[in-house]
Amino acid sequence: MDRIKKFFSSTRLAVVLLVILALISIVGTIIIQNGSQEVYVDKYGPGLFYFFKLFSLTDLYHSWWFLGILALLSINLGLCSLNRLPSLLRLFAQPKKGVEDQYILGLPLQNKAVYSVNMDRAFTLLEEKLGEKNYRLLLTGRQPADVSIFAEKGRLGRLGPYITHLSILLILLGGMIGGLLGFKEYVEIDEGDTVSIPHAGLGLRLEDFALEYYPDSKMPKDYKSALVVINGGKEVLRKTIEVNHPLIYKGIWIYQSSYGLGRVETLTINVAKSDTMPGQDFRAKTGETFSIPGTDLKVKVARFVPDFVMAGSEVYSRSQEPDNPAAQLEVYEKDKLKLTRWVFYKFPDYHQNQEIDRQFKLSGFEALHYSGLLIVKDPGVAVVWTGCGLLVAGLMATFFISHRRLWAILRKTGEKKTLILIGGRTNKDRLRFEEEFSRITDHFSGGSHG
Amino acid sequence: MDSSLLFGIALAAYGLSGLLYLFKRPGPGRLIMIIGLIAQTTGLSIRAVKAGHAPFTNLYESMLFFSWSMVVVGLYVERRHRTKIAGPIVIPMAFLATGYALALSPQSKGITPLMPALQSHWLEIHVVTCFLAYAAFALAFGAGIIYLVKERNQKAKKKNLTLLDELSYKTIALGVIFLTLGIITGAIWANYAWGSYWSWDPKETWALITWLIYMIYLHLRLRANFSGRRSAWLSVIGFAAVLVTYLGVNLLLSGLHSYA
Repeated sequence: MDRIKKFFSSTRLAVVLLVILALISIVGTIIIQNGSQEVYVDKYGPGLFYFFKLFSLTDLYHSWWFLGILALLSINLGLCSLNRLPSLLRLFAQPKKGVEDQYILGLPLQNKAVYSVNMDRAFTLLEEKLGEKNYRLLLTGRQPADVSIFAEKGRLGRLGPYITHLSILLILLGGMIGGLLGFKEYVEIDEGDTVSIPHAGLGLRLEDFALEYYPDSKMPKDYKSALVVINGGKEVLRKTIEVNHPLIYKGIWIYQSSYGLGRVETLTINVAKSDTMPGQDFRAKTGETFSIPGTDLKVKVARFVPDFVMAGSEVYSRSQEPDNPAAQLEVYEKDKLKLTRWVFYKFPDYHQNQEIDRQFKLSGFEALHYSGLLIVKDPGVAVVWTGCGLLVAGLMATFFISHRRLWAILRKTGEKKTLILIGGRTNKDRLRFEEEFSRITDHFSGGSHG
Repeated sequence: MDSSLLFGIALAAYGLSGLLYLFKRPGPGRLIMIIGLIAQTTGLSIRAVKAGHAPFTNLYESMLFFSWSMVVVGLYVERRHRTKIAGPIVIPMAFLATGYALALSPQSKGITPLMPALQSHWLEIHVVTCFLAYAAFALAFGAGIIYLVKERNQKAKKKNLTLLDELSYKTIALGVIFLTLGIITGAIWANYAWGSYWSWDPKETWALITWLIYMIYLHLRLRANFSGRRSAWLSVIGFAAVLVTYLGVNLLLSGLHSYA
């Protein structure tokens, strides 16, 4: 049992787990995560795809075995922390005893000399210098001719690794809470529409969507949504959100995630008898049909794409920006389909037809934008941030605070003569400790040296 | 004064400094390096003012910021750890990075305005901490390479090897703190912008992988018999991960982070 406990709390296991974690994480960046089936079959073939699915390699960061490794790491960290606890407590609780001469002489840094000062003066000098260097001083023995002292600082440095390990446990805990109790939904709302916020019993209405481009550019500068949160029929919050500035209501965060051209478009189709006449404008939405007065012709707007592009014989929209607006028209003569044609906003003269004595142009379009919002609730976030703060504090304590201890014996050796035996040790940054030690010992030899 | 002229001056200065170090004139070498740094700092500032945003939003800018960070970290480590070897270690890398940036095509150097996702103060905090981490790891990498090369040489003095090893360790400790801050500030920013503090995006994941490798380094060193040579190799592997995180992800993989 002991051996098992020792294994599970060992540094070796920690290192092995970290290596496994790193290697698995690398795999997750090479194999696309959460892609569609077509993507995998296309790239790896159906056989390999089946293999991936079997081992959850398509969503490996949430697979049971990945989470299992995190759990093992947590156990390792927890046990290791428990093991260290006794010695840590001893550091803070135990009263310090006085030491013998040999102990001081056996320390990594030590100094022994007789000074021409009396003992009280020597003690005061020592106390002064140690106080200046922020040491905590303890009298560990007092006799008429013999005084022993213990001084230390930087105990926090020893707490560093402990705090660091606990902080990681906190972060993992926070992640777990979020995963189990949180949710994340993506919704697209058209201007003026209302959607319901899942798991919350709230409504969300998009009052207005504003999009701003950089001058002379296709690059979006800013896009915002003016939102209203509705609770039980009442408007409880109004806020305009943009990327980086979400709306927060009762622990639910609503983010401006993306946008696009909405599905409601009113098009202006211009029908002219010939190229020279201005023609007549008709307004219609996608799917609507309008008649051309004075003829047997009816025109149906079959389809509209904001950014027309063809792949083979398939037509689709390359983006949501109106870079190449195009409408597909179906022209019926006496209710029989006579002609199907694409008309382009940017290329009005393209593809003029010969079958019917009318020319069609897409002369305008009005599309409402939809706003892409991400609705998130994560109750574990606060725990994660606490963990992060502690992680930084723990790392800084570990690397920047050195635990230094000094022992000193002052002994009266004559009238106005004191022997000072002083020694110390540190857990890191030996160089600076040596310098500090010299400065302390130099302090008493400021006067004369016996 | 155009910023690219100043960057050219910095490049020349770093090159000259490298030569001075090579010909065993560390005093002038260090001085010229500092002059190069001043030129580069001025150049980056001018660029930032002209662009209206921090100078690290595309590959050109970030590479220049990377070389700047390496010189800054090198000088800081020299001062804090009373050593003279950090400067000569960073100088060749700073020279290469600056040179690479300046050799990019003119289109890559253009100033582009920030897209909405990047319009945040977190941009500065997150990117600066990450680049200071990269710079620290680059310094440790350089020390590791020199350690490995020197070790093969029979005449290598044990004292010098120990110094390189300790420099590596202290620099990696510094790098780990910066990287931790970088990852955390990235997570805070992601939470505000993308709705989640961690989405296993390739860049986030590779930053974590880098962090894990250096954690492994720090823990293995607790063992008495973990040799200097293995430490040096690990600092090289770690830097490979840094390069994948900084450049590999943007160039080879896709994801939320594909800006630079």
